[in-house]
Amino acid sequence: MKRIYYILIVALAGSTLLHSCQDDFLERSPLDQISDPEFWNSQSDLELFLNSFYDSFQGWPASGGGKAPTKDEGTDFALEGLNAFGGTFTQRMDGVLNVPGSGGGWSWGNIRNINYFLANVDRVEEGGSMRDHYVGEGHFFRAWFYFDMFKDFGALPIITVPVTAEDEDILYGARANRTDVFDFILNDIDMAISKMNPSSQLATPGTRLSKDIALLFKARAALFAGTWEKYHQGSVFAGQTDGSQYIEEAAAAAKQIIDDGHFSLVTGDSSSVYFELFNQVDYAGNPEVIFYQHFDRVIGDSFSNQLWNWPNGYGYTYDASRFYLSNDGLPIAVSPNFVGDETLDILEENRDPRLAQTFMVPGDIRRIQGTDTLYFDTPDVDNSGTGIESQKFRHIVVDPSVGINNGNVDYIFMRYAEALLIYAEAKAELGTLTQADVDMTINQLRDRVGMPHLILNDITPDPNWPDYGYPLTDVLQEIRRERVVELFAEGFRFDDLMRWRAHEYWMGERFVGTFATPELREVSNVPVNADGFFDPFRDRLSGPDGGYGFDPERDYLRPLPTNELTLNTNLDQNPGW
Amino acid sequence: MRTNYTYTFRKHDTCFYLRKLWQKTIPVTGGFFGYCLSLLLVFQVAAAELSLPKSNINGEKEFAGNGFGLDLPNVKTGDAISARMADITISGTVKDDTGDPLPGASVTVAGTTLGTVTDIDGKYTLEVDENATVIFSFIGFEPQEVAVGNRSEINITLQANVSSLNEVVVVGYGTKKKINLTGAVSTARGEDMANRPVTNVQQAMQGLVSNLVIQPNTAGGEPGADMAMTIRGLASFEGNTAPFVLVDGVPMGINDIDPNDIESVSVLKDAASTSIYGARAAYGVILITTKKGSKGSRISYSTNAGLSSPTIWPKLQGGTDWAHALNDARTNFGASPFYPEEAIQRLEQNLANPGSAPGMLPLGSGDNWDLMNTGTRGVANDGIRDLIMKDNSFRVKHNLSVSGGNDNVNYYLSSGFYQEDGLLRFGDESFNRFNVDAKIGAKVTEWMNLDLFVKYKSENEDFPWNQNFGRAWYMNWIGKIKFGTPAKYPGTDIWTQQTNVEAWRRVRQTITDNQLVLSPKIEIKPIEGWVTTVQLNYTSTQVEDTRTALQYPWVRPGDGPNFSGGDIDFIPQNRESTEYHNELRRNTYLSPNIYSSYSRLLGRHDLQLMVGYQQEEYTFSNLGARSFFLLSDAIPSISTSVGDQLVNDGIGHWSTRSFFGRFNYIFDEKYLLEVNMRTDGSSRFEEAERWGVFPSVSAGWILSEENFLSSTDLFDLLKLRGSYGTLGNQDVANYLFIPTMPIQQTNNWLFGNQRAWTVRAPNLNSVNLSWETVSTLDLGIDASILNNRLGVSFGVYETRTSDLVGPGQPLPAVLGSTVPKRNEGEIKTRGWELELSWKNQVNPDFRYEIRGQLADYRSTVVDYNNPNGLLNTFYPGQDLNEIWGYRYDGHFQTEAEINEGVDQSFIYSGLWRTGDFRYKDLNGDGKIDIGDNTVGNPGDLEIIGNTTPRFTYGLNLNAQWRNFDVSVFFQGVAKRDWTFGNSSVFRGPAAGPMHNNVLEGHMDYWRDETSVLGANPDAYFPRPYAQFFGENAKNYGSPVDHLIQNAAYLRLKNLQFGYSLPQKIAEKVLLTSARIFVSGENLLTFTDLMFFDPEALAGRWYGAGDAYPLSTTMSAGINLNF
Repeated sequence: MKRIYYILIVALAGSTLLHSCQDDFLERSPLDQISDPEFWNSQSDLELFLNSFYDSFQGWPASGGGKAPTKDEGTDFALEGLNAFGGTFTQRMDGVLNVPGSGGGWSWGNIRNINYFLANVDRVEEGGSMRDHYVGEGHFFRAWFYFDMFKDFGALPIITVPVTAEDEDILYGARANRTDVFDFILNDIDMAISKMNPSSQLATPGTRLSKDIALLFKARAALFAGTWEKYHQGSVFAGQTDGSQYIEEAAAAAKQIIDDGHFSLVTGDSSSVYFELFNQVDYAGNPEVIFYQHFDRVIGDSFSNQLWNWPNGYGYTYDASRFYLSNDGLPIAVSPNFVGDETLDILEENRDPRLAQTFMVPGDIRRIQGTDTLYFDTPDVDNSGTGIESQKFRHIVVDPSVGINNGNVDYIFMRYAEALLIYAEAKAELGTLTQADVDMTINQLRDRVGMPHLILNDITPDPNWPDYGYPLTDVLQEIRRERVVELFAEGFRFDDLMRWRAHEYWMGERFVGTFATPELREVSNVPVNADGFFDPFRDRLSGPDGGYGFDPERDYLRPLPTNELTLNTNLDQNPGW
Repeated sequence: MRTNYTYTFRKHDTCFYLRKLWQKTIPVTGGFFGYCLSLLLVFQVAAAELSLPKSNINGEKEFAGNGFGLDLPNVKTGDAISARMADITISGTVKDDTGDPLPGASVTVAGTTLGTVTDIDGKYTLEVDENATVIFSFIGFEPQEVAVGNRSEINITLQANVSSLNEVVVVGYGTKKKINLTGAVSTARGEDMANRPVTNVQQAMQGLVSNLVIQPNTAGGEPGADMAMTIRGLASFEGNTAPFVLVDGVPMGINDIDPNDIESVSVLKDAASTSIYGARAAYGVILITTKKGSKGSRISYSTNAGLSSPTIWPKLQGGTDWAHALNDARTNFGASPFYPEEAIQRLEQNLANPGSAPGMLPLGSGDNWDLMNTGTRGVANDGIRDLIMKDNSFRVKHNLSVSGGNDNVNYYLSSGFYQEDGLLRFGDESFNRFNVDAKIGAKVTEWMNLDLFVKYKSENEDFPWNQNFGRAWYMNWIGKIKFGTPAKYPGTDIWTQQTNVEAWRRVRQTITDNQLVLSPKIEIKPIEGWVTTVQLNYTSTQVEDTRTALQYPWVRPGDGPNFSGGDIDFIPQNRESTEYHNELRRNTYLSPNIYSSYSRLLGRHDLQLMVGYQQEEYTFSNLGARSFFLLSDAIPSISTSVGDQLVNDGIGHWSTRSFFGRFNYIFDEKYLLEVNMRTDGSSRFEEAERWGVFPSVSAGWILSEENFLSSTDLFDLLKLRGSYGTLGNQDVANYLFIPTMPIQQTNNWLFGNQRAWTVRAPNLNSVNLSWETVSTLDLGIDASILNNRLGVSFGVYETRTSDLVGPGQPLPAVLGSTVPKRNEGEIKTRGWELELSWKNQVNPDFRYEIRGQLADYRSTVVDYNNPNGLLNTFYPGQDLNEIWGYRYDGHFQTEAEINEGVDQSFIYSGLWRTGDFRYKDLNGDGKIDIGDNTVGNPGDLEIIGNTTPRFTYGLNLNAQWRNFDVSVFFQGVAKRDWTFGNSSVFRGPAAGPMHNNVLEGHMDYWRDETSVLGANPDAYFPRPYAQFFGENAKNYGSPVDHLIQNAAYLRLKNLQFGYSLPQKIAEKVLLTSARIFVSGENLLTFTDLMFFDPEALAGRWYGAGDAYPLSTTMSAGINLNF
């Protein structure tokens, strides 16, 4: 009998145990993540969602990310050192890109995510003063991501919804032509401009997108698309228009920035103002900087960079230095002031002051460390490849106790000078450039560094003007030169060469470093060419005579990955691939 | 009236060994009583106000004692107590059933370790106490127990039998006689794992069980590293195919216990055997039973200490060859050499007379202190060759257990400690584990048993660590550090930065892992045959993961106008970036199990029915805090940091609920049938897809019981068995069906000066995700012949894993998201396994046993939604782990060959040079490419190998001669291909200046006569380029058959010699038995693999080649039983 009691007790305990587990025992939803139905309530939700896209702006790589490249590395301005040969730009200029199996820049994650944002934004019922601004940011990002792919691939499918695995018409759709794609991009940018607040009304101007940024982006993108259409006319890369309408849009947008008057050039001592513009640790409040990435090494490794640990795998070219005028405003080929430029010692003599503030020559300060000042003496040719290191961006005062991977210099994405250059170039391309326009733009930049003005009807022809393979007006030659000098190593060069269809300029050529003096040859491993200049790409390029092997019928656009063509037979490969 | 009492010792008394000190009869004189007896009596004597006797008086009455206390009901003041031993000597002869004497049969006293072995005539003599029970046993014969009583001669005839087949094997929710098994179950014994100088149970089990493949993962042979396990090669698309491990019925990590505590292991392989465990058992089950207390009492202690060194670890190429090789790699693409003539001269000088020439080359900038690129400016000869790995490191192991019991209670209490120092020369990593296991069983009433398992484990690890590379940091150094690198800055005692030593010492990770398992179990047997078990499993784990980055010296050029002097300043790295990071991870597992079985024997019908219920709930959470700027290196903590502080957490859970049942039927002890059914529900699937039903059936036929066979003496056992079953697998991530939006801070963007929070878009959620189904058809034959000396077990199986959760059909990239997971696709695994054993007693002094196992399988994708047959994902017909690559067609030897050859620009569109690989144009289209990258049009790709380990085997030999024993254990893989891909360690000099290096073996690279080392046109390696990848893409960008490595190996895993002290000597030092042994682990390896340990292939960072090697360990140890 007693035994039966025990059994009953156990049975009771067991059934209680079972009973206590309610029916929802197997219902488990996430405990530390928001699910979609619980989101989209307030304008701050919109802000949170948009914040994630800012990580896709790539300024300086984080200090753990290896070297700190200039943005123009791999173009005619800057070559990779001996050890790093083969960056994307070098490969594209050398025409040695391969058709990838997958990836290769054909990635749509950001576009899907921003479409997800735009598709859900109306679920937020709360109004709020920033709501429209955030909707504008959404359109800006979509345009930004599309423009990135547009530059690489040209025609693209136009996708405006967050795609799911069931959307077969989109997944297996064809590409829209490049003109439609760019119209779509422009439309998004215009939406952004109309909805967003100007910088001055934002809590963190310069690090959060604004109407001003959208305007400059519009000018930049429209100039790219317009000049591309113009110069690629008749080629396999031509679009459906002659581009003039886009160039007009570019001019208008740039003009609006100028007219708004929200920004102005930083001025100061002409021998240092340019240099000091680029090595600041915080651009908050800077009148010229419209959009920048802030770094702060105290916050952590991924928020700092290694900008003073130079040279770090690349160096500027001798050829680039030859774009800089003499200080009398004349090309070096004709200027009486020119004293030669072969060796670093004399490179910067009597030249546009921006050269001295961009290139590093003996006697320049490398770094100031506590009470010690370290001067540049002998270049590290092996590491730079060319022997010409950068002065621009160099934050010379270092905390001696800071590791080499911990720099603080902010990265400028957009500054006012670009708007001036776009306006001048667009007007010149349209044939409507006036001296007043030049004075308002190019000559502002020249005034800052004490260079003589560009006078439209008094341009001295330069025997060294690049041969772009087509006739170009003197003024456009000079405007392009100004763009080179002002925006040097800021990441515009490759796009410029592409939109100008400039292959005649570099195909079959090889760009070189400084003159290899006996002392420098002693300490370097870099090959030297017949003229005695460091020639890091000797024996490494694929074109005839060891020059760049670019294929103008193919290499202006990147190839689509093999897998994508296999999966979607409606997708066609870019020309030549 | 004074009474004289006598206490009679029994051999298994707690005081047994004290008897040795005192004579057989303890003289109780002078008021001094035997220590042992006084211990036992002190309370009772005091309580009874007894006076101890003044003199030794022979007993007139006896009283009882059981080793724990004495029963003194009638003792009065003034009574005298004395003690004596009641031993008798028994002797006799042991014979087999044919009447022949059995030499070497063992005769032991039940409940003790006392015993002897019969001599050549089958005779024995043994001292026992009169109440003893003696067990007579011999391999292949049924053991017999005999109560001694007052006999002095006991003759025994042992009956031959199927002894090992009467062995009881632990199966799911119960036990079974081995002979009645119908599924594929392999077993391993605790003694095969004991006394080996191994880190954990996995290392001990490697190679013991057929088709249980245990291989190091990316952690390689790091101290305390877990390994990857698969049973029968069962595969899934997601890759997680780890078996389900239960220790005494509690799900656990297999390495959570001390190998010394293991009694036996059952490995359930086929679906019919595992299906009772359902949801988590799809990829097999490992059941570990730990030791428990038996009658009597025993104390055991064992220890084992040894020295380890790396098994196989590449050496840096010394001399000047390495420098010439690196120079060639530079000049190969037009650059000037790293090491100019002057450097080579300095190196030669230093080789001849160390330290005679400066070890660093000056830099152009004059920064003479800078070695650049992990040492490309170093020309010293400073012993850097052995920078990373030590010659010897120490490991030690202790295990102490106390066990015992009586009719109603049994207990087993064990405590183990293991300490292993790592192999790093300058990093002092270590791992240790401390565990306490307690098992207590009580018979509460005739119909109720109570068991309690308590297990506690604490593990501690301490390693160098790096924020970006984790522990990959130091292994990768073998591919970076150059032979010429100076160890210290000239004139100082500070390590050069390129050695990384200072950082290894100061940037560390320590992990403390505490686990507590509580498992009470009640067993109720109200009537004969009906048993109901309620077991509650509770596991709580707490892990504390701490990372510290302390300040370390940072080298700066010294004073001087240009910093170009030879002076060096050592400036501490800035405090701002010192860091402390602490993460607490907790998880709790709670699972009640209730099952009830009823068995009945009705004539020749043996029936058993079992039904049960189980639910599981698992919750986990972590909380991490990270702070910067430590005020002091001595006290790293959040509280003592004054920089930024970051906090994060994570919480999650899952649950399952299951009902299961099993029906067993045996007819006439010949025909076996088992039916299982299990229904599982999992929280990981949405409601409509939540439940799955998984049946299985198995049957066996014991042919040897049939008259036509039992009449012959050929087979002791012959059994055929087969099973078919399915079970479900829920091993997918939690909450996949709910679209969640990850919240995190910006990774590299600051708004103003602030990081901001972000919420990201959800991935496409996986709708209708449900159970994977694993179905296995299993056939086997078990045989035992030659008086059970030879055992054979052979099985074949085919497993189809269907509705596999995989990455879904490949979709165009415009989807912009990972393709949602789907249940689609099927993998078929076919394999076989063979286990053989041979044991023999040659004569009374010598017996031996050989056990071997060999197994193989192949897994093939049967179905996968990849209509185009793209090669970058699964496709139907694919053998898992196959390698697609190009065929090698020699090195280009002349420019003409390059110009006339097929177009290889798809692989590399830049320049091709002599010494690069020429590939075969398999499809004859005049160019080398991947076609459409599909099975139908793979261009010039072909399947050139497969990384699946094939024909895994193990061979275990044990022999005992008198008091000596030896065991030898070989383990290996007979066939395996391996590709190092573009691993820079494997490429050696063909890597950028940071990552290039020359290991012994790398000198066989292609060079022409322009090389200082002379031409080597028939080289193995291609022309190297000192670029991180660059031109090396020509030769290392895609797998090529020429570079496929043969990763087959045969390894002497363990060799052990032991010597047991003779009983008589052992007893003199108070022991029941004692054994000393030496044991070696990984002593010999036979392999063709270049550079690396064939078991440690998967590196942590740059793919293969930078894995922590396994250890060769020499150890000595001792086992003592009291």
